[in-house]
Amino acid sequence: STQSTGHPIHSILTMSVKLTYFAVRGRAEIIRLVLEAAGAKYETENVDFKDWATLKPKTQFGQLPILHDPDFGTISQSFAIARYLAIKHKLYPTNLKDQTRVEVAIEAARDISEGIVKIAFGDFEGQKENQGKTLDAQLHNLDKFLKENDGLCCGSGGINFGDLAIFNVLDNFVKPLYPDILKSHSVSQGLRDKVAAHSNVAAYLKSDRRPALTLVPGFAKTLNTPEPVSYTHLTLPTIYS
Amino acid sequence: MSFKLTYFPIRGRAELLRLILEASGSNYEYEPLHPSDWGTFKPQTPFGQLPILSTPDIGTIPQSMAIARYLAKKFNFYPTDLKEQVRVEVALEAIRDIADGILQIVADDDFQKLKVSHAKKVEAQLQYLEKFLSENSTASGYVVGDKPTLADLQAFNILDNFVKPLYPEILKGFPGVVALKAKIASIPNIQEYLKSERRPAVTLPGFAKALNTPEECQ
Repeated sequence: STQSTGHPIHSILTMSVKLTYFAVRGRAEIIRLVLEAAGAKYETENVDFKDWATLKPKTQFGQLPILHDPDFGTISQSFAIARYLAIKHKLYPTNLKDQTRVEVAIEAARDISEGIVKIAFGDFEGQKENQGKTLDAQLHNLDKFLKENDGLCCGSGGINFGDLAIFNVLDNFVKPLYPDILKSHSVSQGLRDKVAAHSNVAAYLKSDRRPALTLVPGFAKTLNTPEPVSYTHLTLPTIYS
Repeated sequence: MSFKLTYFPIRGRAELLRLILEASGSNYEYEPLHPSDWGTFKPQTPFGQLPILSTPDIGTIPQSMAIARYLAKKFNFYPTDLKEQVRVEVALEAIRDIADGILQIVADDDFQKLKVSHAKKVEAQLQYLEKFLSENSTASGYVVGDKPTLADLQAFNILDNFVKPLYPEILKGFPGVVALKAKIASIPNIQEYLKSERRPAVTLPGFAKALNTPEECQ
């Protein structure tokens, strides 16, 4: 199913980008957060899980999300897309020191999400406690990193791409599986709250544009898919709240 | 301007950084950290991980890919045009997928069996990369434009240090990928580095098990 207007020419006339993904947060959520924080117009094209096998060979890397930008063409790879949009919408710093802090934040966020995704689609119950200890250490270091800049990723002019990447991982990966862990990581919790309080982000979080959360432990095993399901291929259209 | 790179005495997650520094021809210090010293050193690092880079202008940077982008920007291996930047970033992600897939299986006890089934996945990934390379409108053979960028150095790094050791024959089906690898290897500073004793002997982080190094160095 698609929520877009369908005809490619319409995108060019309206000058808005089109995000194609499943109707879940997953790997597209960082992109949505950048667009929403920027107050940018965008179209959403939702791909039904059952249509993925047909669409997959037509994509640049056999993966979603992809972004179509009338100025640019099609861009693949969630972080390449998100960074491009952040630069375009002035949510990426212009000085090298702050850019580097953003890149550190992104890598730290990815370390956290990758560790969680690995067990969420693997032996979740068996690994949850161990991963919790790793997560504690990661959040301790994240607190240290944010404290270097008064609780934000970098600069002092409000939130940017780095803050959004951290928010995304805390709200959509950490909190659902470890709801109490941020109680002992107040700086990370503070960053999460600052981002959530940003007026555009707050509006998005309340809206029906925010899709369902994906990460369900053990869900992959219950699905009957034509190929092994892994998070690097797709995220699973399920409700978890 | 002087940089100090701290890492274990393996290629691993620092090899891309060594390639950038070597390609740039700039002077840099390398501080090898022996695994037995890691327990003491680890809490002094920003994220309990290596590599880290000490810089003359922005302090100590953790996270290999953050360090890589910093060095690439410093040494003109990162384009200034946004369209070109996007191509570099897309390529970096695609190559990251290849590396991550391999990293996942080398650490597994079932490695020998997984290696066989994973080959198809690597072939599919190389196919996408081959097509992506062919879309560089300059037809230079590089990822973007007509000179090497961070994406080309990383392509070389992952192909030489992750893919080739596990799958020595797999690149034969991908002439564009092979040509890119050869182009990078023939850059004079890189060529010299590859022959030098500055290049650590050990390639894959999975070898760390044999070295009895801590998990975190992977």
